[in-house]
Amino acid sequence: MKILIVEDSPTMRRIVRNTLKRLGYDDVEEAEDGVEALAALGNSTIDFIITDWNMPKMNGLDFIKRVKAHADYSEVPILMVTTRSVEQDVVAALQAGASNYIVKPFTPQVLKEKINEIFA
Amino acid sequence: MSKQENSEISQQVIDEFMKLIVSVNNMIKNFRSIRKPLVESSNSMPLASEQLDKVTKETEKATHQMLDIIEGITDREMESASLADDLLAQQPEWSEEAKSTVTKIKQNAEECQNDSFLLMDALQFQDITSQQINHANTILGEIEDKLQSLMLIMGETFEIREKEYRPHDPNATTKDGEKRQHLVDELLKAQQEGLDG
Repeated sequence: MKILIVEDSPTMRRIVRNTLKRLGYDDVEEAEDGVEALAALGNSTIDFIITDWNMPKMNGLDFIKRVKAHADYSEVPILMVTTRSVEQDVVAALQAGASNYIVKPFTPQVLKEKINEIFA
Repeated sequence: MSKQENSEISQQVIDEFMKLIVSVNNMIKNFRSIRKPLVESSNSMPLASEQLDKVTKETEKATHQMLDIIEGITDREMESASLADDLLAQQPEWSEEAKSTVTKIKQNAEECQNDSFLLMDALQFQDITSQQINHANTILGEIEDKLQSLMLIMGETFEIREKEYRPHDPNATTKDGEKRQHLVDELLKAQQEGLDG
């Protein structure tokens, strides 16, 4: 399974990549924002997306909307991983098409559970 | 109205007018006295903003140095555990004591690996604090704009600084992660039940 991490923080990209590796997912691509992520989606087959919310150029919420509106990628599951945890944000992400939602700081266990829920 | 009364009223008006002049003069003095600190405060905003950006860059650099070390430890411990496994598989004739020792070495390697991952997870603070710093930086920019509006009223000239957009969550926090995840999970559940129902 090829996973795309969309995250502007280099620290978080590295932590998410390492956590995925620990969970057995080695095939990972990275993008710094929604614009770069859309380009990555056009260049290779991505099976699963993990995205942050607060990013420059295109934020995570707009990125999800763009992915879900695209015929080629609309079925790709998306996991939102963000510090935002107020109800209206969670609802907005779900309405935009996020498959699941993780609050930062997260634990590897939560990431594992969420991936399992998505692919159950 | 008598001449006497007229004269008294005129004197009162003059007195009030004099008070007004004194008051306006004081106001001008006050404005002059705050002009300098106002300009200085406004001018120091870009420097404060730069300093905050430096904090983010320095913590990010330090965090990556720690991640380099943690990744190295994790890889070596993984290798040690794997070598211990190989040894146990290749040496079935070993005494129970030898097997127990190698098993203990393997367990230690795995525990060290788990601890390394815990250290790595804790480094998520860097992303969260950088968002908090970005929030502080955005507030500084807003204060700078307000100070410059006052300076404009006072006839001061200044250069308008283009402020960098720093994406952040104003409520970003390292606190209560588990509790907040639980609340989100409850919301997800409710949303899912709504869709199913």
